[in-house]
Amino acid sequence: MLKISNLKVSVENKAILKGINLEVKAGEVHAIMGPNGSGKSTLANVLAGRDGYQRDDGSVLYNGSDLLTMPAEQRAREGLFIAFQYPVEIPGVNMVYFIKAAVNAKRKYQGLPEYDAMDFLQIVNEKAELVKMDEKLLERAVNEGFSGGEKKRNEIFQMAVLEPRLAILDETDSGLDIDALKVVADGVNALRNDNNAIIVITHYQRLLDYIVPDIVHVLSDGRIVKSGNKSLALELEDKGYGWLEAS
Amino acid sequence: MSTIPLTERMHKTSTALPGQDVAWLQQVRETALLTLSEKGFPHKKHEDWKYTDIQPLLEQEFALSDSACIGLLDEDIEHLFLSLDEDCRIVFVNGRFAPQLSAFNHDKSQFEIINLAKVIDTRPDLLQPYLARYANPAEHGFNALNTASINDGLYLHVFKNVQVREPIHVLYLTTAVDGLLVCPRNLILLDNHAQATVVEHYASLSQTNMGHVSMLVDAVSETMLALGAKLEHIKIQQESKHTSHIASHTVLQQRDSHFTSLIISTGGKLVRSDIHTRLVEQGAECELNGLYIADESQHMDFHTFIEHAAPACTSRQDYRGVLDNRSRVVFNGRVYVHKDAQQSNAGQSNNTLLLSDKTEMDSKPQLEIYADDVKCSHGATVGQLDEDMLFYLRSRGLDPQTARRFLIKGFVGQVLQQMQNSLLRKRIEQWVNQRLHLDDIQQEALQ
Repeated sequence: MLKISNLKVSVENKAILKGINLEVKAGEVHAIMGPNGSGKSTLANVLAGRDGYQRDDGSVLYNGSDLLTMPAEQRAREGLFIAFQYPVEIPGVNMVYFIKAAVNAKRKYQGLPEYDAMDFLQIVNEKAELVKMDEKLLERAVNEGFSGGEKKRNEIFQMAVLEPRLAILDETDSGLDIDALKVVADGVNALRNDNNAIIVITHYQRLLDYIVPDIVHVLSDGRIVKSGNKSLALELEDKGYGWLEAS
Repeated sequence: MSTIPLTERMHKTSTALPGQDVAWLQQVRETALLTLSEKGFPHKKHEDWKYTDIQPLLEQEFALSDSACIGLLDEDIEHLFLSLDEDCRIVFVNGRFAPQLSAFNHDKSQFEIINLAKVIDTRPDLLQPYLARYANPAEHGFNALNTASINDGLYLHVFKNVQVREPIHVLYLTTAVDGLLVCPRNLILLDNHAQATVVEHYASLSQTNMGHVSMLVDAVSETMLALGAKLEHIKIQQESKHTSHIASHTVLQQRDSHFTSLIISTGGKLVRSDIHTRLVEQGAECELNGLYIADESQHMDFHTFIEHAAPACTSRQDYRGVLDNRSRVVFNGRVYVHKDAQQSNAGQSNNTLLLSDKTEMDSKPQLEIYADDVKCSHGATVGQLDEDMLFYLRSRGLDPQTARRFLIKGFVGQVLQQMQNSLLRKRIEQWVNQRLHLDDIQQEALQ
């Protein structure tokens, strides 16, 4: 589904990603762990299509197409979803109105009929229930005045409604208490199936107790320095990242 | 300078004004005329007119209309109604009361609404304590010009303890008449604990293919809010770009009264809107909000002046707008806290979205505080659409154009959503969205 080959990216002429190789197949959950400054967020932003990142080398194929030449909205319509680390507040833009436009933009792109008000209402209620999102938040402006936990939950709610083929969770666990973490993880797990894939980017191991990955990668100084099964995450938790950088 | 010819013209037309035999009124007019001849019209050297050049306007000839405009039917102006079954609508065409287009189906025990010319003719004593007592002709020449030519407009008196639920629609229409001067004069009186919503609405008929036509609307409104009275005043200014619009509104607020003003300016060539509220007894509150949408070479200038003259009064201001092409907007928000007005609370914000790099926004807060126990704040932003917000919307599948529209709509929506009456709000949102070319994005999910 996703094949990253020798990806090198710089920001303002400073090399951040220094040759990433990663292949993700349908049905898999990958975790990317790494210390601060290792390039985790850069990778997420490059995949999302944010401006300000220069590709110096390498490629990213998404279902066989060159992902990096697609505008951000096309990536979303092709089924890519990023749960952002710091979701932005958008005053004045109503949640329901926004989500409906997003879902219908995607359905239109896929040649499916747009949802009418009744279908949409049902989906929204179902998904809000799934991620235990307070329905009052849906009457408000996007993320405006939401707590940190509510913003993260809103990202997972949007993911649930948009049903992505590839979801990237960028430090979704940071700032969440353990109860909120469980709710978010339950929501993500409920969305797992054989046709989609998930990449969990995190600094800490604890999220991976709840979203159990098939493969764990360690990112350090812009490269994946080690990959392994879920026990690698536990090893990192015990020994810290210094262990890898020294080796 | 055309000041002299204009005042001379005033002398000539004054024979047509109502109430020639009412001594106090004639006195008011003559004093204003004298002020105008002595002080003239403001020019750019006046601090309050620094950014707004009215010279080109003064070089043209304007005169009050001397003929009634007949032949217009309801259906010609239906698109300007707030709803198809308006309870109360008073319509003026080219400055003259148009009874055939007005509707007075309201409960007459709640309030009295009459065109001002009729009150002057039949019961001038009603007006004497109020008319020209709040607005000061010496403030600037346009105010003096209006006062010197007081002829017609709104007289509204809402009785004690009455809560009027439906909006009262005051519609000023202009048709394409070159050199037309319209001087609306409005008087709004709310007795103790009365509540009402008034929509002061300025619009033009036949907006297109008008060739070289130039018109001037010079409006003065005065409002008195008695103890505990509550007025929501919405001004919609959507005249054609052949019309210059200069208006002032002076409000006197007694104890615990509440005044909300929303000025929506989307039309006009040169627009100047002044609003002056005087919080003269404790517990009075005002909210002055504004929404400006300017493009092409439109020029709009908004001046607010809030006088905290008594303790424990609150004022809030939210002026915001969207500028495109070569348009230029000025916001000057002045708050004056008198020495004895302790525990005053005043907040002001002014935010502007620029859609082109040729626009100009001048935002000037002016806080003058002579009391020591007060809470005052102000903030202003001027900028483009937020890149992070745009990216967020795009990352969920919205194309850049739709994302931009969402953000613009959200930005203007924040001031519109403060309107209490949801039907009225939806109607006004419709006009605003049309003006911003946002009406083609889906409506049904909007709350």
